[in-house]
Amino acid sequence: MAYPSTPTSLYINGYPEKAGKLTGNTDGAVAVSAVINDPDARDKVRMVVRYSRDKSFKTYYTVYSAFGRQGVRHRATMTRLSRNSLYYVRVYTQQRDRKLLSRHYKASSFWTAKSESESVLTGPLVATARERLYLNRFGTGFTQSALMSLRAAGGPDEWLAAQLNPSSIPEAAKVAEIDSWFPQLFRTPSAKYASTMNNMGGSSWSYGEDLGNWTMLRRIYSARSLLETMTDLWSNVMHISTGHGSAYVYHSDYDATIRRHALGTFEDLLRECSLHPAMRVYLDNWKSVRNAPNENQGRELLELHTVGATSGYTEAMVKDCAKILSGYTVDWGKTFEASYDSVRHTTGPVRVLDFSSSNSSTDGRAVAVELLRYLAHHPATARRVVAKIATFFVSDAPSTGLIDTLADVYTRSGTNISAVLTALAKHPEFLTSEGQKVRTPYGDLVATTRVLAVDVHAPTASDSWARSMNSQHGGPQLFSWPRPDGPPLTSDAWSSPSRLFGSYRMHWSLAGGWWPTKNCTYRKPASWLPSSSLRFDAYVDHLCRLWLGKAADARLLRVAIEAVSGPETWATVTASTTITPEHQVANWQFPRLAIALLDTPDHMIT
Amino acid sequence: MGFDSGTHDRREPSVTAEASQDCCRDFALSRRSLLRSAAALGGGMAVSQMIGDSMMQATFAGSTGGNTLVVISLRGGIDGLGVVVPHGDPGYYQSRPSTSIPKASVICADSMFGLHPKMAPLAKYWTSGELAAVQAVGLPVVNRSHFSAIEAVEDADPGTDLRTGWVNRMIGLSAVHSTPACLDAVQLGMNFPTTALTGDAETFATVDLSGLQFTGLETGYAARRYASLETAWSSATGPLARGKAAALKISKGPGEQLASVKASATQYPTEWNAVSFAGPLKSAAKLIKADVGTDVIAIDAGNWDLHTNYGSLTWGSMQSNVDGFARALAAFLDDLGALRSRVTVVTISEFGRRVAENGSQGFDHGWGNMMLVAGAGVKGGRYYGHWPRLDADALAEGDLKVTTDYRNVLGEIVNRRFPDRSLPQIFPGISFAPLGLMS
Repeated sequence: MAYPSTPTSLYINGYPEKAGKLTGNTDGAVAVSAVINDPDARDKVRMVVRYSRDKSFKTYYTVYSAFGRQGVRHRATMTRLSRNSLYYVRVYTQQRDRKLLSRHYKASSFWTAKSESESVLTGPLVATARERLYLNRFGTGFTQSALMSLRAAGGPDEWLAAQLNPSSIPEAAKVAEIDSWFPQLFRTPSAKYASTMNNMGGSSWSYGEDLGNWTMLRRIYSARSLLETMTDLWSNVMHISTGHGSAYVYHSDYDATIRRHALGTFEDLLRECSLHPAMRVYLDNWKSVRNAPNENQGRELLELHTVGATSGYTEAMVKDCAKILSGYTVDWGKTFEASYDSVRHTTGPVRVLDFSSSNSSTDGRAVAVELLRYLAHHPATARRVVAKIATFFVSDAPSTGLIDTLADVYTRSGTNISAVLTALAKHPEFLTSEGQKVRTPYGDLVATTRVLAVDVHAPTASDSWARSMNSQHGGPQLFSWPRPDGPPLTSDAWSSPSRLFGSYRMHWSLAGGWWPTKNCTYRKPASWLPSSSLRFDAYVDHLCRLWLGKAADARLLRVAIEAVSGPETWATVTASTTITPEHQVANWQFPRLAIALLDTPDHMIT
Repeated sequence: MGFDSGTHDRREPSVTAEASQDCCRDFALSRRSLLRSAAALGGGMAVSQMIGDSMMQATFAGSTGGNTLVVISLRGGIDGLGVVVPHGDPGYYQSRPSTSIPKASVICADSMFGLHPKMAPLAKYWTSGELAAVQAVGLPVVNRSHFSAIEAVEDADPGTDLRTGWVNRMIGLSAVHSTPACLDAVQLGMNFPTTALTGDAETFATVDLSGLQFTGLETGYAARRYASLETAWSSATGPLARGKAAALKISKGPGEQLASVKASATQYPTEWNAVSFAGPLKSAAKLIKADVGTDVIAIDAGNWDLHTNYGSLTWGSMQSNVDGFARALAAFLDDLGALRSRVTVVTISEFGRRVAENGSQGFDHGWGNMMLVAGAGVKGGRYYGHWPRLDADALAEGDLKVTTDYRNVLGEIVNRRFPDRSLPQIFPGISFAPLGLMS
């Protein structure tokens, strides 16, 4: 006598059970389904579901599916469930004629919701507004796994504290792999220069293009996402253009320098960036000669990097600033090494705002370092730097109150960036700022790639995914802004109609896997289904939780219905339409559903 | 800077040509790389000035069937003396032993001036009276900084801190606007507008005209796509929501129209030295043909900042740049055909270059420059302006003096082609003294 087999592929409430239980809470009547197996295929079979709060099953409820074929999914609904209870489930196969029950059952368990307001559907986590804010602003974009990491850390504040100490976070293995995809970025300055001179293996702009690609890949895959975000901000504040004809040979190391100091003190960051060979070359300081210092960096150090044009410095002070900086040079065209050349240093008394020095030594480095320290700690610098931080993280017009608070923290902590970020995270203006920041085209590409879980592989060609990012986001190349002031940090700068056309094209391209196609893996549309059969509204809700970090509200459901339903008889889709892998929205029409949810303020604005 | 000017790659002249001039390095190269990526997809950012080797077009909308002004900004400070050659002034040959154009080689000549021979593709328009040139024109006060001279030229409102562009003011004065109004100003070839377009009136910048529709509009899907987007953004506010609303109007209207304009039969040059002009000019022609109500198209072109590698008649960046520009502009004028009766073209540059060669047989930043005017309303085949001569004592610190404020030229063109716009509001603070180059 052959017993029917144990049921397989158990789904409770539309979501697959894992390891014998379902995470998340259910409410009300709960659907249960499983694939019912019977080797004796002549008999009809049904699913038998026993469920109880008693683990030993001394008493239990039972529900059944209708008798039907074996080898297919059977469905039933568990009812009379109490709130806030843990239920155990045992699912059997039963034969109709022989009435035999399977010898073994499929086991699971689930919790019911505490109260009516708790989420109805189980499955992917729904982020709170604060969790979303942290992951989208401090991090590089909400994902389910980022949310789970945040909760595993203990919550937003604990997550932030860990992110402020990146070495405490094990880095994703993928990040080291990504380094290996761009060996050209790690060549020495002389090797880079040589490669552009004979036009083999690089030109100045191709290094910049690949620096951008490499950077965006890190933002997608790194576990240390706050570090990447702050590297982004400081690259803007201390901008060096990848279009520059010479700085490119030093740019990768400059980027590494920023990353090294991104969460330390602004004093250290300013000094290391200002004196870096890349900056010496970008702002011409390396060409200064005695008694004729080049004023470019002298001016921009004051105007753009520290105190700002309204702080009261005079043209004479700009010249003195240039004098102080003179001497730092590079051996261009030969070794490309950075060095200090006393012969180039202009001596003589100097004054920049309240900083003065006799500057009598031909080795002016101590004076330069002192000036940089003075500027880093200057109250005008405090306000300008924290204003940029606030604009980047909060809104286009951060309040004076917020700037006052952060400037105070900046100064009292000795220009400590982490202290400023910690204070910012607690500030009500930040906490209520959801909806204030438009993602840049770069941020949009990174966030979209993350939620669509595109897996990028080692590039083999210039049109591989990893090397096409700078052509995909639709904006100007990352780091290519042509002036030393860096691209705008405000939302309105990134809100033109062309931006929308570009980002919508990018969403469509990734949702459908149309381009790029080389060296990457896109998830198949059917893989986004949480179960082999569920209502359309449950499916949309599932996607919204995965991609937007929120449950689908009435508007998002309507957005989805309008995008896929139509007058054709096959195209009727309502909230209750059953979606299976064969349904068009789960296969060939999936890209349309995807862009309906991505081309939204919910995805493009954080 | 270690770059050997003799070994530069012909395909990317700016890499070496500009690299040795520190003040201008950023200027030339950055635009190229910006465009390189921007060209792939028409992404957008509404920010200010771009400099370097690229084309930008801004269009200003108005009534359909009306006139169009095409403003070509020649970036980097074109050497006016090298385009409109004062062959009749002995000072020219004395100052430029290595780089001057021989008297016998200039074309379209009168007793004093002639055009660079590489302007030959445009010669037929000179002869037909559709092309004119102005000399000794520029900013009233010398300004040799790229950044601030561009601001001054495009703002065209000296004496105020307010940063708006003359083109933006001009759109604002129009009685009729396009739908949507941001097509009053469209920037082509680049995805953000220059200072000339900055201001209260909405403008639009895009690399080309091909991507101005939403995705997902294939047959049968347009209605549901638009409905779904409408619902998605129904309660959204803020700048991106406004941008989306403008994009929607473009997608439904002009975007559709532009996508269906037939490809032009005219052959535009495809060589590297012409491509940065030809691409946006080709788009400009398409935009004019689509007749969506564009008043002004602005194009930002070239890499004219030739401190080094200027060359002479037969080699170097200058002759190559002029060649590319002339062939592209000629193709554009040919392409327009009968529509030339509605289109006027004018060139502008932030400053001219020094009269005398520098130590590298190139030219540092100067002052007085030339402007070219072509198309509808132009009394062509003639040279305009008041020539101050090139004698040592006639120069201003080694530069050609400006004897005509550039706003007089722009103002006369605007006044003739768009008589409904109040000139004092577009160019405040100048008393107009038109040269009489427009009919």
